[in-house]
Amino acid sequence: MVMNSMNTERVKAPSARRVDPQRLVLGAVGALVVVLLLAASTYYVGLVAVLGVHAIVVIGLGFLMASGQISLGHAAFVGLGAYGSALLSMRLGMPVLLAIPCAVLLCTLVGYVLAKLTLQLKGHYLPLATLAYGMAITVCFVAAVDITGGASGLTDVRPLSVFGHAFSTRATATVIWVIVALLLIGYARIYRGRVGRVARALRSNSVMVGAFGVHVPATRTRIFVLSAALAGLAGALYACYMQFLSPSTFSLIPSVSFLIMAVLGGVAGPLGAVLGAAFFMLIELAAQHVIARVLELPGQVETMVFGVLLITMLLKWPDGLLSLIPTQERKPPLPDAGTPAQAEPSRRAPAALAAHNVTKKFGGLTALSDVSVAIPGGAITGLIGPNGAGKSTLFNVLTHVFEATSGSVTLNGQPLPKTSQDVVKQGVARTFQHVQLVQELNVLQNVLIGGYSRGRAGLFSAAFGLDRAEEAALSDEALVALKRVGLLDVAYTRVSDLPLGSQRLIEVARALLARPSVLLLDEPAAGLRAPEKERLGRLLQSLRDESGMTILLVEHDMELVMNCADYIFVLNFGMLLAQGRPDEIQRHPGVINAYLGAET
Amino acid sequence: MDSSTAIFLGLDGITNGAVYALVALSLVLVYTTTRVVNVAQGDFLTFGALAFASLAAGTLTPLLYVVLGIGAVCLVIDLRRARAYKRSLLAPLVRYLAAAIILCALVFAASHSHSMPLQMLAALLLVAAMGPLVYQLTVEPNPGASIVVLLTCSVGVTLILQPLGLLLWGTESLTVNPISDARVSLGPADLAVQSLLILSAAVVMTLALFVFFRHSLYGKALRAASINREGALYCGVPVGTVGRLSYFIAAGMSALGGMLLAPLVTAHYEMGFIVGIKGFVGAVTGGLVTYPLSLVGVFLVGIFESFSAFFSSAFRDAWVFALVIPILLWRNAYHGDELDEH
Repeated sequence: MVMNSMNTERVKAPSARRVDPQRLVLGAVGALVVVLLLAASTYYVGLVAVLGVHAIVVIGLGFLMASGQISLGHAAFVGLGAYGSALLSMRLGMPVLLAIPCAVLLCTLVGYVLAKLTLQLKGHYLPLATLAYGMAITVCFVAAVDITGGASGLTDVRPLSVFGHAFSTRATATVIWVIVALLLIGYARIYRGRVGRVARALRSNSVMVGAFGVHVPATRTRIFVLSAALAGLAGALYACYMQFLSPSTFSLIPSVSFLIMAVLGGVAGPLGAVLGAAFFMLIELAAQHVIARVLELPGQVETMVFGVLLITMLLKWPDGLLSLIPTQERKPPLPDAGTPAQAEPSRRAPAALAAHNVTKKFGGLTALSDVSVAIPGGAITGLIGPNGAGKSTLFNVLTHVFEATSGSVTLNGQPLPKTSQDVVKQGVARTFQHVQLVQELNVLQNVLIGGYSRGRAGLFSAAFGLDRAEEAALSDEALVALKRVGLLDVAYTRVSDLPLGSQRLIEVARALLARPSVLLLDEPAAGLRAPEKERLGRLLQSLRDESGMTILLVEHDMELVMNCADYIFVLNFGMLLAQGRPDEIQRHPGVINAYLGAET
Repeated sequence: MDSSTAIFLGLDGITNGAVYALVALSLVLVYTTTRVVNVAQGDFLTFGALAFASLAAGTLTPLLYVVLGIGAVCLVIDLRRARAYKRSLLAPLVRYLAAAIILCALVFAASHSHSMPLQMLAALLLVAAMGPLVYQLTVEPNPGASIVVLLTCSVGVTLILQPLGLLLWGTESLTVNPISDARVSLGPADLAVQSLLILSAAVVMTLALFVFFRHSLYGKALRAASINREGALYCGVPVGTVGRLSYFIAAGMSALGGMLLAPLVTAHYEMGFIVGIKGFVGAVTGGLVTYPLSLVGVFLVGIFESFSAFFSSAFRDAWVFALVIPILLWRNAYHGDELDEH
């Protein structure tokens, strides 16, 4: 069996590499920009500079959107950066090269305060809040006439200069695009890295990432602050290039334009930002040229055409231009033998999890009343009960996704940490009853999310490529985990392309990557075919016997539970009905009654 | 500040707020039934005011041709769909033709008579008819789209409608006669009857919408349509029709707001934008989901605005927008759990 699967893996190993179409597009854009910067007239170089500024904003905004947040006020940060650096250099005589980082710092601080204040908002409140403070900040640019020059604008902004030597438009545009290039590299790494993977799960699976050690609000804040800082940087560069600032450049309309660029380009990678910004500018220019000059129609028609194009694009490709260009992800060759010992840690000390007199109420409904279970270390424990018996609630209390109304949970006699992200650090990992996988990521990346709590790399170490060793080690381990659940050959497939049964096994592999001493499985066999169930049963036994793991199995599939479990708890109506060895449970009259409704 | 100034500012604020109310209610209606944060809502207000001004001046409003044109496009789409699903082609044809004939007749009669109610009705229906057309062209093709995509689409709509208003009516302001130019005195201040009309329209619509959505089965079905589209479909709620209907009512309500407001400020192509934004801020107070709280919200915005204008007029709008954040935090703390994350 093992030999067979190995052979198929060898066959599936990636063959000769073709060129990634996304890289081709990136190369083409880069070449075009270089040619324009070298050879085009000042007018076009100016356009390229503005495009670069837009791209910087949208790269940050795109990652923010990929993490499930929307900002309708990003132009305000651009404005803060622009006015900040311009005023620092003009009024305080600060050298421009110093004023720019100061302005970025200002945006970072403002972004941090606003993030702390508003990121707790749920649903559509958050975009509404961003809209509000965006408008408020912009109104201040207009209203503070003494400082900013008000609606008529701020003139004579100092250009970028080094040692008194002022940069030309061309040189400034070049600087801007060098920054864009660096950001593209950095963000491509961030998207692939530890935080990037998790960011993509924040939108739809925030409970799941919390259970794997992600501090959700802090991660959201970091991503937001980073995007605000980038917007500030873009603004400061814009001020140096334009040498004139008008408050309307930073109002609601540009904020929405940035959003449109991000949506048009797509937010699945940083390249989308450049594509979106470029496409936006192309439509704008084309509309201006064709409608105003060639057809000699009034200028309003141009805006209308833009509106029509925007709607058409969104209806046709809601995921943006990026989704039209296929990508080939880097596929390191799959490991050959993949001996579990290679990446698998040695046998761990058995850990016992216990709930003491746990009661959980939801409003008036008592889901659990006074339940005590002691899950022995190094064994497989089953938790069964009819639908609505409170199994999943107990499960969520055991991992502190829910807090118990009364009672306590202990791990090896010690109270369990308060939040689910600390629980996983104590070696308790889980799967979810409703599969919680990030559909747009591939299988390997999903499994890697399980290793989050063991990694250290943040946004910056990912951007500078300092996370390579850590990522490589985790990847190897993830492939071994995938091999254990029998899914190694689909490691690079998108999760959404797999059947439900495989998705459940991916959940198990992901939990394994947290190197748990206690593994909690919530209905892992639902949707599995018979051979997959057999494999799952063998896997659970090997985890117990070889790795010494404590396993709690919530399951409806009686065959699996009775065959695997060493000990079984039965819940009914939120109360503990019975406990004992499988053969005892099978004969227990109360259990038979609960399941079959026999007379007592 | 003495008490009479305070009363004056308070009354001023409430009448301002009432102006924003109808747009705020429209925004809530559209959001709760279709999940679209309709940025273009203010444009319907503009169109209402301008169409009314055209009819009052005895000219056939140019908007009629635009509506007929877009209607024809939508008819083609509906016919193609009917053919694809092997349904009768006659039904949509009759519906569209009947609507077109009624609109043409009304607009023609209104532009040749001096009856103000008739002119208002014609303008109202004309603008309201734009609602379902916009819905059909921008939301219906992709109803499951995320909130961001839907919102961005509505930005596209406003990009089309605002210049369209400019093209149809030009840049100059049109004067519109009020329904009544009487004034009543209330303590130290006196109020235009027109303002009272706006106020009562706002209150009546709020009550009507609240009762409809809270207490009627049809209202509940409408809400269900936005919360779980497929579930509502399976229960027999015609989700597409729901969307068209709510766009129809919302556009009409905003247009009514524009017609009532125009005599106080003169009608011009940009009037809807700022009213739309302020209405939006008011609606946000109710989390964009409840009608009575939206009404409270717009009054709050109006009063806040007139008082902050008294103290520092330049920063007036900054204060109004900054007000949103504490309101949202408060709503979030008490009602945040009701929001499902999409």
